[in-house]
Amino acid sequence: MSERDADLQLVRRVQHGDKRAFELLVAKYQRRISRLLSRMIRDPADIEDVAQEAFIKAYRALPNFRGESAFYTWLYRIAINTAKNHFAAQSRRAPTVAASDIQDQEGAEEELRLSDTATPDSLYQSKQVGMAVNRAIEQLPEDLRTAIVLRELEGLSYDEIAAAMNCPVGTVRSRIFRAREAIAQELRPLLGTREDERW
Amino acid sequence: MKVDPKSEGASDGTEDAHKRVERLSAWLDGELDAPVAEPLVRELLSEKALQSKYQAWCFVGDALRSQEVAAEHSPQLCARISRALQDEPRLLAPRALSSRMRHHLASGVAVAAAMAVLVLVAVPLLRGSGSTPGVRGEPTVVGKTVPGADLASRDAGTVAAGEAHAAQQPRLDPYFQAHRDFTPEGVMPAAAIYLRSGNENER
Repeated sequence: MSERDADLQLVRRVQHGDKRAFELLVAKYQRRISRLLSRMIRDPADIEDVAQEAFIKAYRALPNFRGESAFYTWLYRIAINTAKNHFAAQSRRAPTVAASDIQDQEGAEEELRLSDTATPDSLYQSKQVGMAVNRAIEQLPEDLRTAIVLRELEGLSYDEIAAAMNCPVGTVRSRIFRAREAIAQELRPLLGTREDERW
Repeated sequence: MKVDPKSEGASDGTEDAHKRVERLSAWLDGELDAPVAEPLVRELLSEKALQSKYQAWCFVGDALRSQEVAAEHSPQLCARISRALQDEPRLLAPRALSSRMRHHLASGVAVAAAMAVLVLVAVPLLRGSGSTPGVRGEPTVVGKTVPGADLASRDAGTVAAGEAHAAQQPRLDPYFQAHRDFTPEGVMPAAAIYLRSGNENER
């Protein structure tokens, strides 16, 4: 079983009528999708609207998802298309916008080109996250830090981490879990929910 | 910051709960076998405490990989989507699966149709009891035309019936002998050869 299979397990549950499973997929991918959209759309309110629309479109299209690609890859394409539709709708609604912005398809593609349009607010938030992560990582015992870094940053499997750290897979599993718990404790204030609370 | 003291070897009453969340962490990494994962996913879907863990760990992963991605976190967005989902109809079955089923069904129907055509047309022709003029007519008439005719262009039943009768006419034996090795052009060449051989052996 891979991470992709774990997503697929949730997808299959949605396909059989369990909406809660889709909420878990939203919770997992909303930041990545928002980040993608934030590089195409300037207005933060529009980003949330388009992200919501993309997720709802994905939900409606989920019966057609066969799992040939990773769920995120499929969701990513839907988000890109939703952003394109957003630009098209915007250009229909606001014909007085500068012609160079919306003149033709090339103009729309120009809008779609990924750019870094960080707002002061997002820069501040990003800095907060960075500081919290660094604090959390620094305070971790070395074996936990190594395990979580190899997993989350290097993408190694538990077997590979076990080989690299010369310890049993069960130990790797335990170390990664404990590292996650420790970092989550540090990041919890930024998550905006209490420990026993979800979104 | 405190690291969870329940490391490897924890043995108090909360061990099961501890193991369960540890399994959830492994599942998130795709490192749990499917039979173990299934009941865990069911629990995850029904328990808010597990969902909270899942959400926090996804956030941790994003934050470790990219602080810009983590900075996009919006609990309001999750809540908005959750509300919007309530207005959506519940999905009942994967359409992808049913379309595949439809494809199989269509193939089955096509095979059944072909079989039906075979039964309705070819079998009566082979038995000589159909209403097709070429079959109801005198078989020997058909047989007489075989040597000079293009066998491949004939209806399978007509040819088979004709060949069976033609093979019984001694005057055609030299013809068949001469062409035994050159006659696989019929609709059922192999069967025709056996038919002729059988007839010749009987004589």
